[in-house]
Amino acid sequence: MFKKLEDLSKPTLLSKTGVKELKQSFNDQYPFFKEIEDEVFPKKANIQSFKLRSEYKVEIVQVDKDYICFTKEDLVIPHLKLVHKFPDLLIKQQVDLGAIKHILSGSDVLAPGLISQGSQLNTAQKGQVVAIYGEGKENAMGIGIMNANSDEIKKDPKGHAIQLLHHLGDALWQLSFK
Amino acid sequence: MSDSDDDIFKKKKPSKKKIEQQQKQQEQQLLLQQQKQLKQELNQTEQQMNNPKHPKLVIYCRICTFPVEFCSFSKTPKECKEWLKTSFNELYAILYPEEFKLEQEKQAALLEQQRLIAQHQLLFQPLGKKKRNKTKVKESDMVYLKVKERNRNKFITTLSGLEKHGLDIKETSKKISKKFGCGSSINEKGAIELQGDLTEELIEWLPKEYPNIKEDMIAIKDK
Repeated sequence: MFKKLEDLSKPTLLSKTGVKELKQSFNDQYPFFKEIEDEVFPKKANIQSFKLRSEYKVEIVQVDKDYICFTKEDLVIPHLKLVHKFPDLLIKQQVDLGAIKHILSGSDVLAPGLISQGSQLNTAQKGQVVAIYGEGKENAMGIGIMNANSDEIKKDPKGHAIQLLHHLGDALWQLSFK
Repeated sequence: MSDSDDDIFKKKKPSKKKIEQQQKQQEQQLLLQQQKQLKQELNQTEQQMNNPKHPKLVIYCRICTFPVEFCSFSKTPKECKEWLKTSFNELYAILYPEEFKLEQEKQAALLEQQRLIAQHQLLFQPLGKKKRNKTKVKESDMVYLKVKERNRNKFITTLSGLEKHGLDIKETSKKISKKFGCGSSINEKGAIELQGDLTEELIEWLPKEYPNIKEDMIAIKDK
């Protein structure tokens, strides 16, 4: 999704109601977020948001020069750096060695990659946000949305299983390292 | 015209070299600060490591901006390895164990070669020379040599300072004149004068005859 970031607008401050809505949607989707709330959103912090003109209804949220998450049509998705710090936020799915090269260049995850040796499939529903790990590595590689339930994937391993939204080395990741 | 134009011409912009130097200094300072922070945080206690609420520390490569284990999938794997060697040697041993062993073997082989060379040097030294102790020689024990020109192609050497070692002046002058075939005489001040340039031969001959005198004690005086 973030292959090129060309149309970034200027940052605007979020109001108090906007921050409250953000925190509520975070708490609804991820039950682990209650314990981390104070560290991620400190009290006297500058919360800004950017808008993308080319994409429809996508905003990037920034707290004190740290990129935290982005929103897409009522879904709140955390940035990869947050996932590195608190790996218990998202459900983990593991892929085998041969697929790492393709994921880091932006392709979707196919079903045979989740069933072969060296991979792990955990229970998840359709439409949930999931973190993707590689075989033998500690840290997360990418974030995606499930296309189908995990039970159906085990029965019929065909087609795209996870749609990729954000991975290591794309335009959003390079923004945070300038 | 107005004063503002004069101010623009008076202000000197820093030259290109200075700007580059300043930028390099700033980058180096940033690097040092980041490395200090990382090394402090690496010494976390075990309780903090296992606590899921505490943020986990991840080291990112400076060149490819990936976590350190993903450097081989980036576009610059060789440069990332060299950066790892210099900054985090322990992680380099964990991630690339084979190359770490090869380098250790190379260093061990180099040390052995140096030892063998030093041993060979000890064996093949010329017999006359002995090891010199590094104690300073007192001035009262020094023997001085001087060379003068009498005419063209004729020199005079003077020896002084032989009395302190308990040597008789007359006998030494006779010995030297017999051995080297030159004329000798005694000075007013008590020094021996010889005809010819005999510095090199005297330096070799004196320690053999009189073992009290050592090589460190002989010095050549310039005018």
